[in-house]
Amino acid sequence: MTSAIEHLTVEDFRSIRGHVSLSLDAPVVLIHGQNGTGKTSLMAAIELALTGDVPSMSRVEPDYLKYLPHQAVGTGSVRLRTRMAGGIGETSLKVTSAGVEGAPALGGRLARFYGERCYLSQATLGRLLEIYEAPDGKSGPSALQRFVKDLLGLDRLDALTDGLRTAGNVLRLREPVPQYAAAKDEIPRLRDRLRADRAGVAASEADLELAKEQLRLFIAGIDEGLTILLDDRERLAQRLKEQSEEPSLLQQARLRRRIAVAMEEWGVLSGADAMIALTVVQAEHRANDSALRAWRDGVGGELENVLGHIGRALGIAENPADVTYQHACRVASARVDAEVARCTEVLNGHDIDHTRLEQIASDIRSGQARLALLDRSVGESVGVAQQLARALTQVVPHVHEDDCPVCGRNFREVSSVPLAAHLSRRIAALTQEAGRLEAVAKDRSTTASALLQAERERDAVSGRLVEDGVRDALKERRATLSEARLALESRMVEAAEGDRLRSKAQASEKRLAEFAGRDNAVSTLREIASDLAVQAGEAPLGTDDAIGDALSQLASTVAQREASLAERQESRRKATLALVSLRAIDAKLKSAREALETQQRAFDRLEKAKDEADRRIELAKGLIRTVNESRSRIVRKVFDERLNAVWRELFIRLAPEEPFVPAFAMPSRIGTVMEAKLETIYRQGRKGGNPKAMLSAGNLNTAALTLFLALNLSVEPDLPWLLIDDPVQNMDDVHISQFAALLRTLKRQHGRRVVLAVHDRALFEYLALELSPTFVGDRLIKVELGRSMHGETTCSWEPVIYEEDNAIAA
Amino acid sequence: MMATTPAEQVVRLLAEAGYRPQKMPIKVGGIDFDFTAALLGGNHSTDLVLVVEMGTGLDKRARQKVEGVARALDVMGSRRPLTTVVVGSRPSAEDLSGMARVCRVLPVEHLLDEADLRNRLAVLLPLRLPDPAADDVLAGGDAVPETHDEMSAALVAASLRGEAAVARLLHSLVAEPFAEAWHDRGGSS
Repeated sequence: MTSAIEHLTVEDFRSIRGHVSLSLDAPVVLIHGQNGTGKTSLMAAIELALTGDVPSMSRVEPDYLKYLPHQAVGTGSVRLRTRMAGGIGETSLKVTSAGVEGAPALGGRLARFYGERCYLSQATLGRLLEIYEAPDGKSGPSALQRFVKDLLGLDRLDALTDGLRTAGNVLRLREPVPQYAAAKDEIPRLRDRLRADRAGVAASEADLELAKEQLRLFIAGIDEGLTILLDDRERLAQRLKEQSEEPSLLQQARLRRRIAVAMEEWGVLSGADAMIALTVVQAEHRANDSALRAWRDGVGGELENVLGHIGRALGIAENPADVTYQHACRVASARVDAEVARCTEVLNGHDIDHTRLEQIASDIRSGQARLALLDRSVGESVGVAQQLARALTQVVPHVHEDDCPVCGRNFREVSSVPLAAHLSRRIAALTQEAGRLEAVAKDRSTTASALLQAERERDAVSGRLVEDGVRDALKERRATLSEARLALESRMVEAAEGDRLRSKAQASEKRLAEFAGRDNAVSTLREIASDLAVQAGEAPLGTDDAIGDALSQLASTVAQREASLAERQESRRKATLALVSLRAIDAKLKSAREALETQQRAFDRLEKAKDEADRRIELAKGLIRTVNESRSRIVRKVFDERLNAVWRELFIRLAPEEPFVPAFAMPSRIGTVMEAKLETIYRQGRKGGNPKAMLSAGNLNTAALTLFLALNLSVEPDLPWLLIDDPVQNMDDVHISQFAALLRTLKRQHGRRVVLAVHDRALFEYLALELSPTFVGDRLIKVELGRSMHGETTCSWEPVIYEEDNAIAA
Repeated sequence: MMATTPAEQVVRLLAEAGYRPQKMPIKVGGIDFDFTAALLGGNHSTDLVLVVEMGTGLDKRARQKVEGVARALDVMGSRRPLTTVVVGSRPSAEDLSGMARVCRVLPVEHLLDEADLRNRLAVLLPLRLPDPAADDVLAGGDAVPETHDEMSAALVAASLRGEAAVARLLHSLVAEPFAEAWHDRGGSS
């Protein structure tokens, strides 16, 4: 069933005054009316009822809604009945100055399809080329873009290209996918680091090999069998620690020291006189001992008596048996000599003191006699002479001339000597006397003190005098001691003999003792040596083995063993150290390897991720290419095979003589923005300029009209309708006839339902003729619009049906 | 079969388009008219097409015959559209406009190649439109490219929800491989 607009009722809408009702249910509806009778209003009413909008008005008047009702009434209405796939639809709109009430018949895409593809208003016809050439807004898609997109579903292609835009350049991915950019930056850095780390690991491995080789040498020095544990560091360390040479070394050292001691002992025991037999020593000692004893019984006894006597007399505690006899004799002699000398001195001093005492007594007597003499010579005048001399001296200054200052008499009376001379002579005599007296006094004092001294000496000497009994005892003791001294003197030779005998006896006794111990020591030493040999792990000493040789053999064995132990210990020490450093390298290497592995893993992951991301980006790029190719192909197809082809077909029909055919130039670059350019193509294929420059006004109109039809015909018609408002402007008769033929073709061949409004009566009639029904059921509706006397719109419509034509004989 | 004259060429082209050539003379309104050829439209078409040779020195006569047919149709009250195809030399402007007043005139002049001739006779010929249904690209309405991998398919599917959805999907797809890689790295970078 063909979609159709069946019936229209309009009341007080725009320039239509009153009520207009007409059927539109025919393949062709021709509307005629003089200018101003409401053709365009009728068309607008249909558009409003279908789409809810009148774009030809809204484009120029934003407030157009309030001009929709007839200006004289203020309220209008439009009712439209449609027949669509969904059934019969009735739309009723009420238009007031406040706006439109009611819902339009079409919505969304269909409404737009109607507006752009089905209905060609006069206003649109004039602007059609411009509308399709330039984008109709600053942003937003142009009508052509819309057309192409509607036709092709390019929205999705655009969504794809726009959405994938960032894949085209990795820089654009930086913001939306920071991980990608980060990975891109990070990968070379990580690669460098990995290289460096790998080199580090290799170096550590070389270090490890070196350290292992060293360790192998060291442990081979300890125990060749340990080398199998080279790679089992734990056990190796344990073994190194468990097995220590220290105890063995200590043992060997102890052994060595003991052997040394034994050797030293042996050295002593095996000295020069070691071979003398014990019996010889014993005989010798016995001889010595009896000689000493014989001496003691003879002269030795006397000597001891003398010494004992002296010792008792002088209180000498020393026993001559403890020291040598000679020494004892010398000590006793010295002591006796000292005692004799002391006795002699005491006795001699007594005699001297006695004589001195008599001398002193004589001195004292003479001293006392002199003292008495001097006392008399001095008397008491000593002081008087002195005082007088001083007094006279004081008078001297008062002596003038010869007058005596004392008595006042002239001295000349008594003497011819001047008074002054006399006085000084007197003073001198007095002073001389005084000096003499002074010397005598001094002499007296000296004598008195000498006397005193002599008296003191007398007391001291008399005190020293020994009593008589004591003096006798001393004399007795001196005599006795002198005799003992003589006796001692005569025995000095015997004393020397005694000393010699005694020391000989003592020496032989000592040697006897020594010899007795030596045998014991040798057998003990043999035991020790044997024991040492056993301890050293050697065979014990036989009774005939030479101790010295055995010991030095043992000593060299122990020394060797010790040296080898020390060597092993050193090796062990070094091995332990080497093992420590090896294990340190192990640990370092292990962690380095682990770190490397971790890093490598991270790097691999990252690189893999990056590769995957790159792959995806490449896929996206590929998709962009595919989309672009697709778009390019489609758009090219649309332009070349569809739009331009159809447009050309139509234009040529209407202007068969026009050499320039309008066309859309193929967008040079198929991007998201469709920059379509208009051009003309010369029939023979060359390109011409823009149609507006190349075509006449009439053909330009034709170009616009055919473009509209081409747009309609290029797509599957959602609505098979064509409503054209007075399209035949500036067209000559030829074009009109061609247009009529084209409309017929569209109607007949392509099933379009045509509503056409014209103002020209002749044209109306001509078109009615050309579009007459040509078969039974075909129909044409002729509508006549006019105005009544009162300005009311009149409308009469009449269906024309098919009538058989018999004008031409078959 | 090549046509030797423009008239034959025209007749053959129209005949191929469904027009029926008429025997001469043709009787219109009971009057005989003789033309080089005359054809009637078929298939719900009532067109009468006259083929007139001109430039033969009888142009005036030919014009009068065309006008005669037109008048005869008028007298009969016929609504048949009348078209005259003029072959041969281009007639004078007077004759041409005279004929154009009573019918559609399509001057063809000399022998032409077929494409040119088609252009000249276009209004009489069926309008050949590309068949939308025959076009694979346009048939489905969704002109999206074919994809051979899952990711592209997902992106194409996302294009239904618009540009932002495609971008979101692309970015999440590109970011996806890193989720694990970066996650494992932790804060080491």
